[in-house]
Amino acid sequence: MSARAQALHDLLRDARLWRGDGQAPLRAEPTGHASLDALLPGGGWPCAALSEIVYAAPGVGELQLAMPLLARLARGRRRLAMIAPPYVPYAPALAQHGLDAQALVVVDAGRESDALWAAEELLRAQAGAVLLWQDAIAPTAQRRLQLAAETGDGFALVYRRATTRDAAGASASVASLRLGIARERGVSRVDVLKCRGARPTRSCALGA
Amino acid sequence: MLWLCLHLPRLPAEALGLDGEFDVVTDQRGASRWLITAAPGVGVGTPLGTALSLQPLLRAHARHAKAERAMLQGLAHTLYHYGSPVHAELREFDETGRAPQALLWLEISASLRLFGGYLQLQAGIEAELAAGRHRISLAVAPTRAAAALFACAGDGIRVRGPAALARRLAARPIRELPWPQAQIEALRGVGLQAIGELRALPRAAFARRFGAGRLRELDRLHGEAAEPAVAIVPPERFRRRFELPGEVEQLESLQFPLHRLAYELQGWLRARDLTLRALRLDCLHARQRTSFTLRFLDAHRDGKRIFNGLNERLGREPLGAAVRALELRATELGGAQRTQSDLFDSGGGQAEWTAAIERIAARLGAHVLWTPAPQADHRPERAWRNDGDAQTVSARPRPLWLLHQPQPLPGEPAVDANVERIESGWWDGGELRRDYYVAEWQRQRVWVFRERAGGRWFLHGLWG
Repeated sequence: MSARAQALHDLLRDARLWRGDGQAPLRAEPTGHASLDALLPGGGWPCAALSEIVYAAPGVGELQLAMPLLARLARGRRRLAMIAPPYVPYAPALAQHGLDAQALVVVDAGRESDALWAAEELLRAQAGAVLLWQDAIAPTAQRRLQLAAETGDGFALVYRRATTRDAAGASASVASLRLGIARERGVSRVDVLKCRGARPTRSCALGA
Repeated sequence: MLWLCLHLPRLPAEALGLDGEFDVVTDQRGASRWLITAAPGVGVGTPLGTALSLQPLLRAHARHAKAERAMLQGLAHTLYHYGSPVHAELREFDETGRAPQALLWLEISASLRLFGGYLQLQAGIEAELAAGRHRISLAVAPTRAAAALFACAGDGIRVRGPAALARRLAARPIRELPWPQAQIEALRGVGLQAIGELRALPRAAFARRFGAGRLRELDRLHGEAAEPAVAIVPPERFRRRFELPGEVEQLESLQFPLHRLAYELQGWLRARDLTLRALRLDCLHARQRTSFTLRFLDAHRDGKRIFNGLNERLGREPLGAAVRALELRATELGGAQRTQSDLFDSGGGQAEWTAAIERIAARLGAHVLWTPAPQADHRPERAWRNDGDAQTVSARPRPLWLLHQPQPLPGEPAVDANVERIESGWWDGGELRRDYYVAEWQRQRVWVFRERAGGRWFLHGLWG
């Protein structure tokens, strides 16, 4: 390889360089949904980072999105937490998704501030993944979660119910990855609303 | 025998939880009151009136002998694993102007090797007591009496052999002997200044003039007579009370007593070789008491963890009324601690995780935390439990979300033909007869059922 080509090669490998259609090197964990992995930079959930899932309503497949990741983390002896889930995480279904529920702790935090505090505590305590359900989450709180996820090297997944502002693409987020999920004509569709290191606004069908 | 003696000159103040520079503790006989802890400019034994004229900033507190004795006991338990046997004594003098001597003895000839020398042992003890902010002075001697004498003199004297002991003792002034002041004065009146001079007197004459008891004490000092005493054995149960110096309404002011109680409990657990699962803290108010229970995820004997747990638990809600005293008791104990290492688990943050879960349980209440586990029951609402103890699972597809209560549906959903009939529970009063379907409803994938009696539709789960 000539010196010139070497220089170009080095430049292309530099993480600061962003190429329109390419994918920057990013530490990620496969989502377990092949069609979704293909859309994501690094091919999955970004590690040690905050990801946001904007779901249209409960029951559109929003939790299934994370199940392969959770199952894999549990097999790797990482601990998991669900904080303030809207319904009872149903144990038989968790088992059907291959998740050993022993690794999972559910925190029924009543107040939003308590839920955020618990999420941060558990992320810092090296949780594999913390799933938090909270509709209105301030950017400062998001940043704190992001920092906690970096400290504990875990996945922070925030579930937020979609609002009309989301439809307009107006609400801001500091999350590394932002997915939207909705269900139409019996099929769950995932939209990549934002992702660090690649071009967003692409969508795929879940389980397709 | 080799005795390590600890003298605690500030124990009266420590027992009352005082740590201000100008807080002094006084003792009283009749109308006379005198200082038993020192403050800047005024020494131990100064009458209170004189002391106040010298140092007007003083805040005088009456001593609480019972609390002192309890604290000394607690310290004996804390130090139990540094030597055995352990003795404790609160030496009282029946004279005005003298301070009690709080003394602890540990027999260390066996533990010196275990701890790798005296300096390591001393460092360990000092670190242990630094947590409780105790002032100590240490001395080592082959007899308990001599070790106490050296420790009270506060010189950090270490003597191992009998010859060195006799040499050192001979030079000590006789006023360091724990004898009545009148007797000391009488001895000095005849020109005796040092303990060595007392020993040189004819024994029979000394016994006749000052009593056989004093002669025996001199013999004990030199290791020539037995020193019988009852060694301390930690009690079966832990229950400790901390009287606060005043009424306390702020949690911040409870930090110090909580810290001390937590570490006393740790000392007791170590001494008895037990671990702690649950404890109860009572805050005593003027009329009523508030009780808090705290349960730990696994049995342990870590004072810091006990303290953090208590702190979070108390921080959960404001103290209802002013607190006068705290009472801590261990309610559930585990066996001895085994350090077990898992072959596959590199220990990746187990301690941090446990600590975080305990903090959450303490602040938000233990009921908010649970772990789902499947249970072998055909009835959907009984096919899960919240104690993390897994059983077998149904083979039929199940939704990830279950509603706490099935919700009646306004209309008839569009269901697929795949029906699952569940008829169960007629034997225990929880009978249900339902046809379950998977359906698409309002752009959600749902789990619905029709009651076979009545035909009404209910929403029971969501495919999250």
